[in-house]
Amino acid sequence: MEIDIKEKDKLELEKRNDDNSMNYQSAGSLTSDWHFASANIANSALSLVPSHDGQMNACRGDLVGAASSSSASMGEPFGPPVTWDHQTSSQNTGFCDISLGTGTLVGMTTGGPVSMRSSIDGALGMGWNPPSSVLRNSIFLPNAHGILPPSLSQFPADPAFIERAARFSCFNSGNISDMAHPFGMSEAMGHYSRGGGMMQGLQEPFVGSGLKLLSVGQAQKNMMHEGDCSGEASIASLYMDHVKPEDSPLKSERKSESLVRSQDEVKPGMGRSDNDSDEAEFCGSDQDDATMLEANAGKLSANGLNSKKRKRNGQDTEHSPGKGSQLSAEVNKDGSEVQHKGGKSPTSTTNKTSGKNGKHGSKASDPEKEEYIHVRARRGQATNSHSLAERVRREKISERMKFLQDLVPGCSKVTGKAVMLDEIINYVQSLQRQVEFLSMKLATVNPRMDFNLEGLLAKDILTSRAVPSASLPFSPDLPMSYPPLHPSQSGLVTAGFPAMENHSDILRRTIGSQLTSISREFKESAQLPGSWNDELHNVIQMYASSDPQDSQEITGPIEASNMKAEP
Amino acid sequence: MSATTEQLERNFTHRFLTSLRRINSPDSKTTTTHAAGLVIRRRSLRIKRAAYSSMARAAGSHRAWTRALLSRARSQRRRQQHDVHRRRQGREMGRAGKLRGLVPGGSRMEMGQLLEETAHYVQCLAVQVRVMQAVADHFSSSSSM
Repeated sequence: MEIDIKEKDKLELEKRNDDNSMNYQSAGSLTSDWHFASANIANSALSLVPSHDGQMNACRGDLVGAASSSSASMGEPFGPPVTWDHQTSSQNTGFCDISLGTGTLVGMTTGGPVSMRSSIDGALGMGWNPPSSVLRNSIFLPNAHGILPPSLSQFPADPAFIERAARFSCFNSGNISDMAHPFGMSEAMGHYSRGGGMMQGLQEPFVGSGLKLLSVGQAQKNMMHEGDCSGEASIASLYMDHVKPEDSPLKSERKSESLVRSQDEVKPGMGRSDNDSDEAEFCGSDQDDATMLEANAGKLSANGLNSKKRKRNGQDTEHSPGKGSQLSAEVNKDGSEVQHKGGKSPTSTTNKTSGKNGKHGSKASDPEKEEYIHVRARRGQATNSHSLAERVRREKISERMKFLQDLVPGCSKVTGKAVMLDEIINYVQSLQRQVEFLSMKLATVNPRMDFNLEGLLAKDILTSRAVPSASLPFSPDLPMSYPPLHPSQSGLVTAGFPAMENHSDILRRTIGSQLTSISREFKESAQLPGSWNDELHNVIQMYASSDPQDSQEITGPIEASNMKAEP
Repeated sequence: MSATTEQLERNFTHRFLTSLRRINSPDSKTTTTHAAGLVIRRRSLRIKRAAYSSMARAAGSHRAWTRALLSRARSQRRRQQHDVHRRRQGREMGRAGKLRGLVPGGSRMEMGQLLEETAHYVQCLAVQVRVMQAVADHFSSSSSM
């Protein structure tokens, strides 16, 4: 019976979806917001039952209760639900209704109260705007035909409700394309009955759902014996994603956190790959898996924003196409990265939702998604723009790091920002040391020559190009070995023994110490080219009469003289 | 890029050699009153400053680090030792802070701009080292000849 009901609910849900724009929404919401709905349902169920036992069917009561749980006014939701009953033909047993409601809630949650409202309005022509939670629940109700199952009373207290909802979502995740798959629903429903204790956790509609989702996921893991665990996980993650946008208006930040948390929690538990893949599926092909979470988070916020926008404009389609380019730059299936830091989540939300819907196999869900993404605009917007800007900034930095990796020699195999930065720092330091050494060398060498600027220029250019052996070996070698130059220069200068040493000695010391350090560096690098050696020797020979064969030999006499002067 | 690098190299070489000539020809400091070592030290500092200034001018003022370098040179010349080392990014610890200290004007940039400026700065430094090496080789070789 439960199964039948589920099917009926599904059918009804589908019907509703078809009838109204929200049909899609509910369908999509069912699949995407399954988790959400389940959470909501759980909550609402709990609240529904107590308050509306007499008013409606068990199912409805649950739904309403769920709605009422989130919203203080229970009465309102009940009104419309009654109407919904009329609309919904089927027989929703408590179970079915719940499942449907769950789906609806899911859809509603994603769409947010506003979406639900619109959907409801569209479906029922009702203009009441119950609180978001109520909306969600209300949507749920219509779908559920308002037939409260006799077992409705169970719902609030049935922790399995959440589990079932989660399972349902999982199941749906398996058949995303057929959100309204009756069998799926039935199966989910079956899970529902099986579930246990989860509902309690899903007390809180949004944040709680996010958190509860985790518990749901966990419970699912524990309890699910089917192979839908991964699916559930994905659904749970999806749920979280959806929860996030929906919650944003209500508790944007909290939801995001909870969502992320739940996602993180679910993911590790469920298997990250699954979640990522699912998210990827949901988000669209263009979505980078690595940024899935981010995208989801962004989407969620965007969804919230979109929902709000849509609500304002009342034209979902317009928003989604217009805004899709903005926020969903990253999320967009187009993969076009539009840097709209204005936080125009509506578009992105739409795209995101469409991405999610894509997996569900219905691109037409974009408008529907927008419909139910209404509520959280405000908070989602803030989150969205931040996350978007943050992502943009991160990508910019990584791009620059890659460019630097090409510039700095020997960094091709280095991965990671920290090590790269270390390499860059070392390279810059070595270059600056080289400049200092060369300036010192020029200071010692120059005064001995007359300047012929034109000749120098020509020669220099020619030298640098035609005779790389002399000059280039120095440059490439030094960068490769970053040992600091022997800080003897300052020591030499501050020796304060000029009177005691003749000019040549000082020069020798200056050059010698520097050359010594340089040559030591070269020896360490083991790349000392012969030409450089010759050059070095030439320079050293200028000041030292000792045999320049070995740099160390040169340093010997030079250091000896140095020791004389240095304190 | 190589064309730009060559142009930069030529520009820098011209400026640098001009500065070198200006530094070396007067040689007012090479008096026996001062310590020979100090003379060399002072000259090397001036050459170094001239090298950086020449490179900053050759690279163009559309780069933040060149502007920072030239303003630093101007302020130092006027004996104004105001330390702009940590003006905006408050003493960031770790690698980023080190990099900010190395790149002129790095303390005022965000990470993204810092990396971009570092890339350009590294390129110019490489050119600078190359040219200075060639000049030094030329002078040393001509002097040794």
